[in-house]
Amino acid sequence: SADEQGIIIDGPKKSLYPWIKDHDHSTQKEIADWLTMEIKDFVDYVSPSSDEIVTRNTVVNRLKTQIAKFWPGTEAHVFGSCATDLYLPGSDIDMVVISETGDYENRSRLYQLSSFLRSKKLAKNVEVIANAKVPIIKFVDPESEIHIDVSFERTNGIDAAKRIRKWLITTPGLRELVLIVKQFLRSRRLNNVHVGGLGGYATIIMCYHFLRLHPKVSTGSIDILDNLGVLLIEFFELYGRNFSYDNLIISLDPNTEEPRYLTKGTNAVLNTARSTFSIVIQDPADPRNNITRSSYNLRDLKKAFGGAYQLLVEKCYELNGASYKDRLGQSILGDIIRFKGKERDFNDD
Amino acid sequence: ANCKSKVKKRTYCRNCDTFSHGDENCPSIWRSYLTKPNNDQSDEESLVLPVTACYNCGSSDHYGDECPEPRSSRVPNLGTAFSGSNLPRKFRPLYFL
Ligand SMILES: [Zn+2]
Ligand SMILES: [Zn+2]
Repeated sequence: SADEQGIIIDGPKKSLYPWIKDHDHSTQKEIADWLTMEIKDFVDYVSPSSDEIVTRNTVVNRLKTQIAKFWPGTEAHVFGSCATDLYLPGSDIDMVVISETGDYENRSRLYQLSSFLRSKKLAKNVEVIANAKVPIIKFVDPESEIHIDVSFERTNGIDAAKRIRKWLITTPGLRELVLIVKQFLRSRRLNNVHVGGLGGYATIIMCYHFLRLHPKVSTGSIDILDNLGVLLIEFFELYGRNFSYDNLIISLDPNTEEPRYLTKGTNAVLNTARSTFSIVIQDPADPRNNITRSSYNLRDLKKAFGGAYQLLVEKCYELNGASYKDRLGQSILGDIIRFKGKERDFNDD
Repeated sequence: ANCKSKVKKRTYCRNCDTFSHGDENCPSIWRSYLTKPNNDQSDEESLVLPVTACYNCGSSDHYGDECPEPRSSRVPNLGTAFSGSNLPRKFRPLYFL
């Protein structure tokens, strides 16, 4: 499209940071408060509207019902960002088929289901990926155009979703931080695990671990939701500047879920990477599993986090010294996050 | 757009009483927290330090800013959130014991 080619068309220019429209905070005395409000606006902007929620539920329920009819003795579940309400516009839906017999993860079952979905007009652009470590069917829902992945017999995603939903309840503000970091990674194309990026679960654990360990949060002296601005900068400060990726593993105590670091030297089983400069996050459900084994592109990840720290801090200094006139209409987040795609309605409810 | 003088002025921050940055680049501009009202109620004797962990060596006895080990990251440390001095005042004597 013209937009993608960077051609400027007549008429109002589409804003690259549409979340600040009609939500100006430039008169905030504290820059940190301005950033906090902008984060909340961004979250409102990307949060699903009631129509989008209905659409997703309809797609999911239709698939669940049809698969259960096609294969009695199986049940289809949703996991991933769709099950935790941590999805961004355009995120795909992850589903998994669990059977009573536990033996549906095989080539013939994958093809059976894919031709059933195609014949029932429940799927288009169907792809069967049978030879992967996690065999899946990929397709697009013809009505909503939402992308869907279906895997088989793997319960770990369902367990993770349960754990995340619990954290979201006990940690107000976690959702906001996760959504910002996810969109940041997406803007930098560092969110794809197939090319070494950081996955959703890893992002969530990093945010949760950071918040639980923060001296002001852990002592109950601040509410996360009131301090999202400074906490976002400090998240980037930790993972972009100070954390020792060379020596440490990000871990939660299996009994208390308290945040802790393990040393790579004494936990060799988790050290799947060839280089010491690699990110290792212990799976809360399986102490021998490194959930970031595919995130090999730590160099760019750390650089991106460090760069975000730098950009945000410099913007804070710049705006703090600027006149009210120069502050008007400015965005702090705009330097680290771009939101492309269809313009959305604000979700102010 | 600022007029850049060729003579480099020595920077000083009146806020932090330091020469490492100027007033206009002071981290306190953004590292400011909105604290909850009256959470200084609990009596000092029942104080327990929260969970700590060091981003540099992994120890659970201190935060990274107080780590005695050589720094692992090559990015310089300008002072971070993970420091005993970022604990609420009442916890500091216990932490810096
Ligand atoms: Zn200062
Ligand atoms: Zn240490």
